[in-house]
Amino acid sequence: MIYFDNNATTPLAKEVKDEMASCFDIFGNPSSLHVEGQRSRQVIDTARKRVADFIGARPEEIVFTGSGTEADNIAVTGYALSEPDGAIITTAIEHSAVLKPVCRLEESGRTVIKLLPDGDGEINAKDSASAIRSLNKGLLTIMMANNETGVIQPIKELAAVAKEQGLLVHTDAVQAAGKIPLNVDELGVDMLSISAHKFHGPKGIGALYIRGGVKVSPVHLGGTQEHAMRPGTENILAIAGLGKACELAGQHLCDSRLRDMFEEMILASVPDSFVNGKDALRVPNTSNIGFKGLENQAIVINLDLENIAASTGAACSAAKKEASHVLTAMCMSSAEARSSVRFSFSRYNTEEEIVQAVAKIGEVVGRMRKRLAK
Amino acid sequence: MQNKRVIAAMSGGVDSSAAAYMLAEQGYEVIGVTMKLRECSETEESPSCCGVDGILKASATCAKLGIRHYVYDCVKEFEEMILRPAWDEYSQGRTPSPCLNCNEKVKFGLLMKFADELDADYIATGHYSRTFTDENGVTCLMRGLDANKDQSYFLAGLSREQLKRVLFPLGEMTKPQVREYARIHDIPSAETPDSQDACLVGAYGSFSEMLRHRFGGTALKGDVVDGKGIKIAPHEGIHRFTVGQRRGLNLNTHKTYWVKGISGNTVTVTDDSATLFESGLTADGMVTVYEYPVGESVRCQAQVRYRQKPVDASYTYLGDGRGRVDFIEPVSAIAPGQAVVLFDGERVLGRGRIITSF
Repeated sequence: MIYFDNNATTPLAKEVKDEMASCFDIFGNPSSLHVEGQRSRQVIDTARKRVADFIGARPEEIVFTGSGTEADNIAVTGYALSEPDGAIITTAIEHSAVLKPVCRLEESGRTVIKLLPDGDGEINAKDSASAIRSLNKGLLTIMMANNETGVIQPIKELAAVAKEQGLLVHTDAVQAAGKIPLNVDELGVDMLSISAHKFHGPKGIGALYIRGGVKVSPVHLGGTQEHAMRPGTENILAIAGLGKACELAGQHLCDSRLRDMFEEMILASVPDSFVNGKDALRVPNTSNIGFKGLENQAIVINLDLENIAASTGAACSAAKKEASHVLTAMCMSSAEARSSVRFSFSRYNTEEEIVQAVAKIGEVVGRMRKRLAK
Repeated sequence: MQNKRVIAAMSGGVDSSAAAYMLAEQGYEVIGVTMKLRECSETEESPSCCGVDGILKASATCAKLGIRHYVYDCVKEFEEMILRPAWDEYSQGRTPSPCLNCNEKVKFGLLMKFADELDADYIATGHYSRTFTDENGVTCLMRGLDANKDQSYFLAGLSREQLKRVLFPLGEMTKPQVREYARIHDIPSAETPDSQDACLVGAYGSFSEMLRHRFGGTALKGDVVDGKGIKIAPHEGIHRFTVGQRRGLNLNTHKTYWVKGISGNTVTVTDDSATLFESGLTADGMVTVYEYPVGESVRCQAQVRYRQKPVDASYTYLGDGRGRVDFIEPVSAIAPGQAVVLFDGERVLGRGRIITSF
């Protein structure tokens, strides 16, 4: 299998697997006083330090969560719980882990502003500034990089405007972590979400950075684990895996070599293909390509039958045939959006795979068009 | 040579699972596809042909076979091509054949398109039907060997071109044989009870009420009258009635009545079931395997609903997709909107939509 669906999830890095395996016998409850508990606490502390280093934070600012989705939910809903009259400003292209909690707040009467991207999928910082300036209390939540197009949003610029207005800033960095450098101070964000399995860590573990002093209420109630922000006995194995994945990612940020090669070859060899978000700043591993006249679901299935894994968009909505909300927000026609396939690479992919896949994609697209023309 | 590629439509039930299994055993390259006809959130009490449970069972069968399985999203098409037209029919006092339309347009129509996209040679289903290709290369549908499970009535809308690319692995089998096969091969749905082709009835109690709520339709209320035009009771909408219906008429009387006809907003009933018998019908949307000259009559057998013994009849093509069927012996309860299906013995000759009866 040629695996080009690394934005959906990634294979576990061997180093991460080894790190997790070494923790299998560490079973104590990290909250316990005894030495078994202390051993577990050690594992968590080491991981927390690694995560903090990865994003330029202090360890006590890291909250381990059950997923990126949970981190996003705590950021949005936790903010709303602590500020009953704070507005929410977000974008139309967020992952549903942000959009849905925001929509629920909107339904219950909260002021919500959704910014729209331009044709390249980028939220324009200048145009958005006036919307942000219309508020003087609220949460700005904008994804760092879009999961479908890979387009990087101007968080730093938007955060600066938000700060002037006294707004809190959260960024969903799930698709950015491991692909571009992240530093919470440089970005100027108060909260940031990541998810381990997007960069060769295990599934079922994420983290939310909450800047010291920022007031967010817990969404789940229980014990005092994770400063009571995420109660429940810690998932030690997964936390160890996340820590290791962060350490590795810090050493191997990916470059755009494979992606650029892929796009160049596709555009040159597959007629009527186009790259979505081509002129925008993108994470280096993501390529979203439209094949005029075809349906992406059928393309992806055909590629699967040829042992190439790609995606119609967010994996969470892959079984749906509706046009992507991200691409339609970019003002693409729904036919263009429905013809678009996402290819996302990782450091474990090779040039040879690119060459093989491009040839197969050309064959599949050609065959599908020929059949359609009949 | 590469193995022929087959798209196996898999509802998750024992029939379609066994069909896919047989084809894989026979050496076809089988790709399992479950058509998703409605959103997962639309949960209903009764098991039906298109639920989430079906997706899981189909997926488990494919995993056992080591073949790929995909969910094909047809929610919008099902809504627009099947449910909405079905409501249009009910709202005009006719009784639609949604299953027949669903087979023709969605289950086979869209699946054929999908098969084209995937470069597949055939599509296969678990229907108890067969196909037959005559000496001129014309393919037609044939009843399955298991008369109890024969679904030819619901498949009668399939075109010759569709039939050429369809495989019915169960056509020569009986249901007990299929169950036995499924048990022997430990197919996950071997013990799943038979599903009914009754989607989406849900909390509204009837298919037509569900449709009315779904599309915000107005109930055309009026009176129920007897053969002399004397009012028996008011009614809550003509969509609730079907010609020949006896139960659920809500007439507040101990006498037994049958629906004789629906005209405007008036439902006419009779207490004499013998008057439900009629000697012929006209239909539109006629599609037949062979072309017949206008005005010429052919001998055949006809069926005006699923569970009905076919009766001897003569069919006359009237042009413009319209046709007329004259029964040798009168037939009871011919409901406008339902399909009339013509047979020649085991062979399906064609079908149309009943417009009037006489």
